[in-house]
Amino acid sequence: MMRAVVLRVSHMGLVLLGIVFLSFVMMDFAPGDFLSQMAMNPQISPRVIASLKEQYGLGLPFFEQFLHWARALLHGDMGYSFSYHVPVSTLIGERVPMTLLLTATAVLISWGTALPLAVFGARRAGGLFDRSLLSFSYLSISVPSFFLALLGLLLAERTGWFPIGGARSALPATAGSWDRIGDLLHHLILPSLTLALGSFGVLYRLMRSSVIEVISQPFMTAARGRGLRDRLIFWRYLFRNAVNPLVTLFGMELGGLLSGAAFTEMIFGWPGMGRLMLHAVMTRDLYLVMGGVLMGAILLLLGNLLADLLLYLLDPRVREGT
Amino acid sequence: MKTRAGAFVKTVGMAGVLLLVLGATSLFAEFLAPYRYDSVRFDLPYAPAVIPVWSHGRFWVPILEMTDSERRRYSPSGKRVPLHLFCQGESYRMWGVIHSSRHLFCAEAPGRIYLMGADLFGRDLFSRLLYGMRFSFLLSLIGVAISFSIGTIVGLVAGYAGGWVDRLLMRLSEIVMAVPGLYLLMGLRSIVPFGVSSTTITLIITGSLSLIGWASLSRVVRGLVMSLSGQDFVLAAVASGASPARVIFLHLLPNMRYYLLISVTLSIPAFIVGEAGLSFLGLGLSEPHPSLGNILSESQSLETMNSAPWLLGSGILIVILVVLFNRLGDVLREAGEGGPGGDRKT
Repeated sequence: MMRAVVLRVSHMGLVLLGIVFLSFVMMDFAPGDFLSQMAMNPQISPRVIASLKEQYGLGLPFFEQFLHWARALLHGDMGYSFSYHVPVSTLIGERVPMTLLLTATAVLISWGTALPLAVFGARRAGGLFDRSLLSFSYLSISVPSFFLALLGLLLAERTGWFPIGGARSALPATAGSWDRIGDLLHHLILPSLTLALGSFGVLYRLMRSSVIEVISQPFMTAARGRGLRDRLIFWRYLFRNAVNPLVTLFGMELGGLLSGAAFTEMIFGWPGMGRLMLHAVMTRDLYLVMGGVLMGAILLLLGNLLADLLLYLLDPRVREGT
Repeated sequence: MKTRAGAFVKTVGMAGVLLLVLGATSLFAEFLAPYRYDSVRFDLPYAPAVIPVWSHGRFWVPILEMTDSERRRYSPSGKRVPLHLFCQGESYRMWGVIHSSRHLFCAEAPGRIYLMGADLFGRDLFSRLLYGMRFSFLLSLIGVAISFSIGTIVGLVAGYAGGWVDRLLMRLSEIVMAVPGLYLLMGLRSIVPFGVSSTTITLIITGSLSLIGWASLSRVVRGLVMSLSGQDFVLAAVASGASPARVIFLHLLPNMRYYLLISVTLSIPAFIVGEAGLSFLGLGLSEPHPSLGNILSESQSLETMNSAPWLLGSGILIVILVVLFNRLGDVLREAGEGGPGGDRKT
């Protein structure tokens, strides 16, 4: 087991190295960099630009520049954001919690609703409840996140139930921390709901078909035949088996926590990673783009790893197999 | 002939038929659209849809009058113009080749027919949607063709060769899949400067979408090759001295065709949504060329959503296209499972 994990982690390292290298190549292809834009600003002296250039090795040939950046990265320095004029790690550190708050809430909502509903629907598969939820899932899968977010914005504007965009409203200085938290949560509802709505469909369909498959297994009949309590049958026989295929999906959801909400963030004006990345790409903020891609990729890989570990823990068949 | 058409409908289902109709419609966009996609009327910003009325043996299009230029409100002016069929209108070059100015329908000169309303510049949303849909279809078909070819070749090579070739190719696909898709798209898009020609942008978008798409397909193909390679008929072919090309083209590919068809169909929505998303962010096709994404991005502000909610129609069209392609994939899967040839051994 340990061996497998170590092997996987070293694989991850390789893949990460590949990603970093390829994205560096990609950014190198892009004509001009942020400094060439800076150089056009008469307020910035050529000296400042020259020192920035030297500090980040921007004048160096491609490979040396890459090594320069990678060496700094190993020391925990992700470089400097040329458009925000702060270290990249500070920026990312500010944005990541907001994105995680949004996406984690969305995951809680979608999993919290889709799984129970799917179990319920699967027991009466083909019934009115099941069929309407299935069509709803079809829609949920097919509506692009940016369109859904636009509709959410329209809803907020028409009904006035939710604030329109942003994560905070201007509160008086006297407002207590509870007011602030309440305000944040109020802003959180709509973006997280639209995100959750988008992933509901896949979850419902997968869990439903999984439950249907498990229900018809002989061991379920056997368990019922032995007169086991319903609760025991449900949790130990039905749920544990049915949830197996979803574990992989859970890993993917974890992996998408940082990058999956980009459109929703942009449309709702949520100050998260997605907006930061769009800005970074538009302004060719090299190290910010690299930092964002790296964080997103690490989380994706970690999510997959965690899913495999979970599967290992939950499913004895996988455990015996390895 | 009739039975063959019936069988076709049965295989592709309603979704397939509808997609064919939509595809054909967008193919003849120049003829079916009453106006060119860039035909402006600055005096009619955000004009609402006008519905032709039937009287005196022909259709009439009411002429709108702006009553509130501040809030862009319109009301019928009482005047109307006749609607003609197969009439001479704005000239165009069908597919860039056939020169003509004949349209399926058009309103007489001072009037203007907006079947679905107009945008800020008074351009007809219906016409723009037709052109935009054609762009989506073209882009996704070309994109799928590219990613499908790369994915199939990589998958076949990896699955058939095994060993270090397999490991290398699969690591490569992992790298592609481990980068968050939108970030990769934005990064690739930033390679070319903003403000290049729309042809270049189209190429870049198609290329980057295919660059993302091949990875997962190659893994599917590899898995299929590996499971098929262990089967008796492949082993027999190999044992009797068939060349790898013969095994691949005669034994492996024919047995995978249903899976391939299904995964191709199910991968098209990613292209449609990907293009629309990029254009929505302003990274894709730019004005005046219409794409489903940049039409939708016009309605980003709440003000526009209130005064011209019909611009959201492009979003609905995206949803319709995606639903239809997903449904087509499902129908094909069901047909493949139950129907003849689904599990045939060569």
